[in-house]
Parts: sequence; structure tokens; C-alpha cells
Amino acid sequence: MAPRPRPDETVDALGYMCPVPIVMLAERVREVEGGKVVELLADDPAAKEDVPAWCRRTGNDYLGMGADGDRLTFWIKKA
Amino acid sequence: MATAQVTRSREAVDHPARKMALFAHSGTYDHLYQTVALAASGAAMGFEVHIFLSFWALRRLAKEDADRVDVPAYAAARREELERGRKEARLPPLRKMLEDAKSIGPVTVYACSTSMKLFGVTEAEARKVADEVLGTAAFLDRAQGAEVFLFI
Repeated sequence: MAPRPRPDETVDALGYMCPVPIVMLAERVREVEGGKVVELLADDPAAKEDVPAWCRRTGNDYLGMGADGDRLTFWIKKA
Repeated sequence: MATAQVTRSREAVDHPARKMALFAHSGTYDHLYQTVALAASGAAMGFEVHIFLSFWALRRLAKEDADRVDVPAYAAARREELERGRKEARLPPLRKMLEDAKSIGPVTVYACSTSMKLFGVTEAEARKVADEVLGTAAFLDRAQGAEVFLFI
């Protein structure tokens, strides 16, 4: 099993529904330098597909997802 | 747990300014939510977003409380259900979501000049929500090449 990426920033979108988590993620990723890893916490199940789609679309690196019950953690590396 | 797979799309790099055009007609909360949510997602994903506010959508956003929960007649029996659900889902106010969308990507909002005349929307009222007053021909020109074009 791959190790959990070490995040430089965390975005807490727990309790928020689409499209809020993606908007929060986009806002934070815009602010950080290239190469930094942003961690997104979310419990909207749509995020499982939305976050990789957002990464594909924006050219950022999708590093993966962890799940603890309904609580999801995503790691994104800014391109 | 974590997977270390790295994916990167060349597409996003090669086509940075793809367009989304939304023709917003309906002014009930449920429809306006879709307009604003799609604009926010589109902006976050790097789309150039163009929103044309016509008829009831313009009247609502320019002259009324955008977040009063109302629905079309066919859904009237479910209005309170939506109002409760919105609170539980912590949906942000529509104007805030639109402002957030504008802060993360190129989102331009147009007010339909005919609708302004029909409903007595003043220039000042239109400017509260729209960046420009426009006609449909100019909107179609701005929207040319949009890969997402929706009437809401």
C-alpha cells in the first residue's frame, strides 16, 4: 500500500455538498505554489468522481484518495 | 487507503479556455441554484463561463431576494422539503456562490436588455448582478464555440 502523501495545506469541506468542495479546493490550490500538496476533506460522495475530474481538467496531479467510512480524504499536487 | 497513481491531462494544458454558456430563464430558486452551481463548478474547472440572465432569472436576481425558496407549480407540494434540505446541506447563498465563482475563474454575467424593459429593471439594478447589458445576438457571439450550452 502506498504511503499517505504529506500535505502542505488542508481544505476542510466536511458537511458541504457539490459544488462547494470543488470551489473550496480550486480557491486553495490557486493560492499555493506549484509542487505543493493540498489535502481535501469531504463527505459529499460526489467528490470521489468530482475531484479526479477537476484534476484532469485543470492539469493538477491527483495523488489519490483515502476513506474512513463516509469521510474522504483526497491529495492533490499543484502542477 | 491512499493510492499513488498520478494522472495528468494534456487536454487541460492544450485547451485552456473552453467555454460554458448558460441561458438562465427561470427565476425560481431550484432553477437558479442549478445555474449558479454549474457556473461555480465550471469556473473551478477552468471553463470560461458566460451567463445570460433573461426574463424571470434576471427579474429575480436584480429585484428580489435570491435565496427565498420557491419552486415551479409542478413542485409546489415539495417546496418545504427543499427549504429544509437546503439548510441541512449547508448550501451557500446564491449571490455568494456566484461571487466565489467569479473570484476563481472568468465568469461573465449578462443582463438581457429586453427583459430589463419588460420588468422595469433599471441599469443600476441590473449592474448589481450583471457585468454587461446585452442582446441575444451578442450573447450568441460571446458563446460561440461553447462545449456546454444550457437553457435553464
